[in-house]
Amino acid sequence: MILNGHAVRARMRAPYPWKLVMTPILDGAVQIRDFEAAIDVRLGQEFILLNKAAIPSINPASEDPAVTRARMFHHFVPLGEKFILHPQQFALASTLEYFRLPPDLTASIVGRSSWARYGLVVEMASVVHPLYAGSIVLELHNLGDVPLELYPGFRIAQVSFAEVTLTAEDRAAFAAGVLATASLSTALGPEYRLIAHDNELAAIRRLQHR
Amino acid sequence: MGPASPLLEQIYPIEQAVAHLLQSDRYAGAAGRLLRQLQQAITHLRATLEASPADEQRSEELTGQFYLVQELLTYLQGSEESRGPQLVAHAMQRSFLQGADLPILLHTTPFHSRFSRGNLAPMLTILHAGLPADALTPLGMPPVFPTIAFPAIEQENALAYAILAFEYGAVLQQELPDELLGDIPGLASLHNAWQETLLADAWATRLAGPAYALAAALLYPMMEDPTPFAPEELPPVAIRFACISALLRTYEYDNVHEAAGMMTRVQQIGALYVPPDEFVALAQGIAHAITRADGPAPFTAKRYLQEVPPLLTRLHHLVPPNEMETPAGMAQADVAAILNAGWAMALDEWEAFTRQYHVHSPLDAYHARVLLSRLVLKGVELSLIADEWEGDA
Repeated sequence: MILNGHAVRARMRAPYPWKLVMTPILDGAVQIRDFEAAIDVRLGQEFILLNKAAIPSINPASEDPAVTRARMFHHFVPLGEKFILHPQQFALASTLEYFRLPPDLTASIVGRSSWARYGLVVEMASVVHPLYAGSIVLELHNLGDVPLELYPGFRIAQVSFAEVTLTAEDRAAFAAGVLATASLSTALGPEYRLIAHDNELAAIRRLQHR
Repeated sequence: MGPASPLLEQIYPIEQAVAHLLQSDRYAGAAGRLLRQLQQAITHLRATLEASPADEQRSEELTGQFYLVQELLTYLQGSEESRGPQLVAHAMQRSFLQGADLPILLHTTPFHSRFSRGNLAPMLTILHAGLPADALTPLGMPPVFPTIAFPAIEQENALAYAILAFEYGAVLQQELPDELLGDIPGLASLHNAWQETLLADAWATRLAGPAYALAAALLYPMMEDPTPFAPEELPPVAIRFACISALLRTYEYDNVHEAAGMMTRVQQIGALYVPPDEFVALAQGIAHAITRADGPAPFTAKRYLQEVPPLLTRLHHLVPPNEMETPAGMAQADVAAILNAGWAMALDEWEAFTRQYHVHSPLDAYHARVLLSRLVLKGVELSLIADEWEGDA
């Protein structure tokens, strides 16, 4: 069941661990409307670009985390200033809001239609799992023909929340703190998660060397 | 035609480097204005040399200014890129100085610099002396150029940034009326640098509470210069801690159960030194004089009790401590409350926190510390964003 704005507000007032945290809400009346199925979220201040000239390719089988990190440009854009996304350019960003999802809620994020009509793709990996804590990382891509001027603080995407079924035992375990209600791997801004950390890579390497 | 003066040959790349620095987002507002004045000084120096390259005597006069520019630039380029200290300084400026745009150009350095705020300001003043009169108009007061040398191991520790409260204390202590200073027992007998430092410590303690004392306890012993230029240059760390501890007691933090762990640490550190009675009396005199000048302390033990516990709850749930629920709705947390919540988590609640998140190995504990620091900084950032968004609406 998808939560409407009214239900979202109720979950934001709930006690932990069932509390939905979404902070800061700069304009509640605009971002969370009682009978809408999604809430609006804003563009954060940090951006990451890859230095294309220095990276021949992204190959998870030979990815060197230190080298990849060294080839990223971090941009910080203060409120009131703009980030220009050129045609066909790709950048990582994040929501300005920080989220903490309870164990029984999942979220999905998509771009706002007003920006989509100018060719802006905001999110490509749209599912946010229960217990997630952090800003939601955005994958910005300008598919249009003209540069887009993006201002941190602009409402750029919308997030909808849906309930996830929990067994009575799981629910009791979360309430009692027996099951951890968050992990220490939170995203506090845009960041790359290295594909080299994926489990299936070991199998791929084994197949490469057989 | 190439440059005729050896000095001129060196000044072109310096001019470019300053232009490059000015493009950085680190130099907004008053900091940018100060840097542009430095740029003006360099441009003026270059123009003078270009106009009379063969004037050896004039070149010699300008050599001194050139080396000052070069030294300042080396210093700026070597300073820390981290946005954390700038962010906390911005929040402090907004909270402690009510957003007044004072020309404080903050730089953090990963190395212990021989520079201090006391000798960078004259350097800029000397440079300004070489400027044409119309270039000086943006400068309303002598530039303050605080320099914080964070030891490398603490550079990314947001809790250590509470030390920046000292710089705002240093600005505010200049506004204390002479008659109030005259009433502080023992103050007049101290060297000026001692007076200024102890008064700035007092203001900083008043602005940021135990968080300042703990950051001072963490950093000042590492940063104390074993070979000061002169004995009167700065009061020893021991004397400063004696005063800071006395100030916290004057502000009644020792009656706050929630701050007990923090007070214990401050007192333990203070006990490493022997606080002479006259300095305890001096600290109390300073606290009373500041209170008379400006009303009650802005971050009080009472505020600590109200604001820190809800922020600690957020940290326990991995949520940035940027706001708190009040009967009237959500309220933005002040930078002082956020930093104090971070310290309280690190000192008093750490065991519970690590148990909650199954932190077992030393590496996990390190990552948890890093996360705490980042959550605290995120709290400052989000609170500042909401404050500016509402304030500028």
